[in-house]
Amino acid sequence: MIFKTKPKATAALILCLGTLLIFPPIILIFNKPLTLLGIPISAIYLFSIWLVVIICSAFSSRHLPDPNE
Amino acid sequence: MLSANFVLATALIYVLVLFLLAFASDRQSRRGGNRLIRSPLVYTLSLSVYCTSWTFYGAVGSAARNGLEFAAIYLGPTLVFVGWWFFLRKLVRIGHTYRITSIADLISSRFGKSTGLAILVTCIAVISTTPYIALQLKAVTTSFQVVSGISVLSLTDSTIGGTNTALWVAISMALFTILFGTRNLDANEHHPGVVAAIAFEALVKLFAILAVGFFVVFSMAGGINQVFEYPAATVLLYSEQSFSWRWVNLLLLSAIAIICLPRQFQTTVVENSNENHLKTASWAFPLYLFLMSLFVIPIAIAGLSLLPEDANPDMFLLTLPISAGQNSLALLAFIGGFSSATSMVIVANIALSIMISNHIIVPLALKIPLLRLNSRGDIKYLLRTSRRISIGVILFLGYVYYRTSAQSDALASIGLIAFVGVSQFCPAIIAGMFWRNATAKGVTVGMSAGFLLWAYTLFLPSLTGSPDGIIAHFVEQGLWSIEALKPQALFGLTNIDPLVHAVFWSLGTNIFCLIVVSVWSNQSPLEQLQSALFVDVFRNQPGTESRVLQRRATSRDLYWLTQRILGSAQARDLFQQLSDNYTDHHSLDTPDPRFIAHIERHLAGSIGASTARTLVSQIATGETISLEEIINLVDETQQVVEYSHRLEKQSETLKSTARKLTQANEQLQQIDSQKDEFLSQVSHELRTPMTSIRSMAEILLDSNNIADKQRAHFSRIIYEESIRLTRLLDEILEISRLEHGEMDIKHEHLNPEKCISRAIETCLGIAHRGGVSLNCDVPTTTSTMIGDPDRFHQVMINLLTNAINYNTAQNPRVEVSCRISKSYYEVYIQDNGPGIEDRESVFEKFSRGPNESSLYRGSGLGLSISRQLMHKMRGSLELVDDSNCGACFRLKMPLGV
Repeated sequence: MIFKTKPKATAALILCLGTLLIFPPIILIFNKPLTLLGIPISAIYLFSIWLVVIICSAFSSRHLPDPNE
Repeated sequence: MLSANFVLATALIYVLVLFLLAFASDRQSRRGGNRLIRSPLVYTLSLSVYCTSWTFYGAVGSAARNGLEFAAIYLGPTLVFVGWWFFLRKLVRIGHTYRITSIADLISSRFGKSTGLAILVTCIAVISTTPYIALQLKAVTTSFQVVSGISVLSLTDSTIGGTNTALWVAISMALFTILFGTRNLDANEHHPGVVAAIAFEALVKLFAILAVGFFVVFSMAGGINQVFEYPAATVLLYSEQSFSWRWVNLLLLSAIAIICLPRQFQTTVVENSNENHLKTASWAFPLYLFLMSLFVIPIAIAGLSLLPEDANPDMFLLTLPISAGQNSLALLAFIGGFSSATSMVIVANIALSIMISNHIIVPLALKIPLLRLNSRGDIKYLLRTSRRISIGVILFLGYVYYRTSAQSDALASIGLIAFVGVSQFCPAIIAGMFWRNATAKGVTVGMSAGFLLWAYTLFLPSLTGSPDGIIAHFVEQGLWSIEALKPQALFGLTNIDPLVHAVFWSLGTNIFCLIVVSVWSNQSPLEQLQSALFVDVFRNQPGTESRVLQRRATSRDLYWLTQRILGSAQARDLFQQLSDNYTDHHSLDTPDPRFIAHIERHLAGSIGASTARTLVSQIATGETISLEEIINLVDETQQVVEYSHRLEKQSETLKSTARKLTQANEQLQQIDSQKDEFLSQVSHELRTPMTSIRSMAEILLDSNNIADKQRAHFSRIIYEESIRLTRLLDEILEISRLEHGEMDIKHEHLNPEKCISRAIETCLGIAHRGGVSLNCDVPTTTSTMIGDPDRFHQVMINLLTNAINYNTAQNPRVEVSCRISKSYYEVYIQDNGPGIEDRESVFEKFSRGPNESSLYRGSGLGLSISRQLMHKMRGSLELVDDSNCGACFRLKMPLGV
């Protein structure tokens, strides 16, 4: 898995993608009066991106070298 | 409604629990049993001082006003922690290596241990944090009134009669912080007791907000989908204005704040006991923030829909359970908010009191001759007293701000004022960590300019509640009634959100001044040293500092100084430990620069780098900073960087060379095996005619009485076989010449019609003999093709004879047709024979068709030679993939221009 082979590049990628996805103009795509399962799409989008970034970060952090070493 | 006394008693008991927890943790830590306290989990939870009552109550308020905007305040920190490897790791490493005690210490230490810069940062930190502390007072006061029902109008107007409560809250928090934060002065500014209490409070506030969230969503509203069915949901969550400049601005500000807020710096960097904890915090802290904000939107929607229209959105977390008659849940929410407020006030106060005592009071006291601190005097006592006093002063300032600021202000806007204020540190920190040439002058000018603009554009306008209305008038009209100087529309920059306006002017000016002044000014030698130490913190070897900074001091003076700052017990321990390490080279009577540097760094861990330097300089003599060594130091690190870059490049080149070599080797092996195969095929092919020639010759030699007819027959066989042999050898020679590129190929303009007719004429005889009808359809054309006429003829003959000889059809037929494509002249030779089964190997050497007629036996080299000839003439020979019966070959010759 890429988390293991290139941990630093993956960490940078997660950071860049996470930043890009919550900044305009991409986030504006989801700023529409639509609902998904009864919940407004803007809220669903923002919170799912958030959670995905956290999960990816947990995976990538595990494979980064220990800062103490 | 709960009685005021009951709420007060609960809060008191809660505080008592916190105190006991802190006390027990401190004790356990001193005994060495601190595994839980120094665990990554507790570190992560302690970072949650970021979530103050502004988060707890204000986020719901903000969501009720601006929808999803509140989330930006948590997403910024999420990004910073997700990218910990690139920034926080270095910051924490610098903090550990140079024993940084506060954000003021960090900036002053990096820029030449400047006392002036430390004072500037401390002042900015105190002034920016004052509104924030006022915010906590306001939140606790208001929530206390709401939950205990002191004010009859509490559901709507929560500020009436709150001033006395606020004063009491301020006093009790000051006492509390003094008890917590200044109990012992550790050499590292670690407060294990406080950290444990903060971690506990983090759990309490998370539990409280989740409990209220669950209750509101599932009990009051009846489910998640029901919440979003209220009309308020659509109004809140969809707006054209969402995610505009203000959103970007808030993300940026919160990302900066998670590093630059004094309390965040205290928990993230100063209280960090192990760099590995960052690894866990990188995802666990964002997860905490995620959980804290999960129910914010549903609670805001429920509050707007279920409560009276004029209810204060900042208090929904309390008023919703109260309106449902759930007093105990309201009390839990109150304790959660109380936790948020107290944890922030405690840590912010500790951080600020460290800065004030280290960077303002002690340096000032050293300058007053009456105190005689220079020669004697207990600095430790001074530190502790000054910290206690400053805690009181800070909370008093917060109270004053609370009284002065507009009472109607929403919580969120107060918090943002503080964010913009502390964000002025950010350019200095980033430049200090990554830009070698940033100078103290640049940082001082940049930060001062940014701070003044912040005060003018954001802080002053927040004080419009002052009784005489001067400030309000000033905000309306501008300074001296000049239009261009209006605080919220500087230089006519109108129609812009006041926050974005303030961030643009203050941070923009700050960065601009920092860069311009740094480029135009020079670093002092000490600054150069510190810049090299900070920027290359991961590459420097221990002891670099002392190599550059040469000075002498007696160990008696050093010991005396250490004792005055750390106390006698710690001073003894430190000297014991150091003498064990250093005695092998030097006697302790004349400590070497390394020893002095070590002591100074230890003292800096307690009183800050600039003050430690001032004090050590007073007892050290003959201080010289070797410029040569500094240049060497910078050179060394640069050399290392360059060297590693070069190595990296070289290893990449080596890798690609190795790859190429492997490929070449594989090719060679393939060619070698092809050659072997070719040789064995050649010998086999030569052997067959040779065998028949030999056997015929033997018969002729051995038997004398052979009939003449027979003899003639045998002689003819010998003759034919030797012709075949010669032809075979010719073809082998030809193929070898082709492969070695020794064959001369002409590139002439040829008339296609003429060439094709000539080939057909040549083959008419064979066709006639084999009973094959040879049809030709060559249109007249003016175009020419380019190639060698003889070689083209050779290829045509080969293809035509193949088509004739291998044709086993009833009515054998061969058709030749032509076509002109883009840049090629194409000739098709189609037969109605059995077709070619093995399309892959038909062009290989010595491959023959299966139905070879006895009339003709080819060498198996014809097609291979033809194809190579066509390539040499820049054309091609292909077997057309056609479902028709028979085989169809296509010749392509380049067209002449």
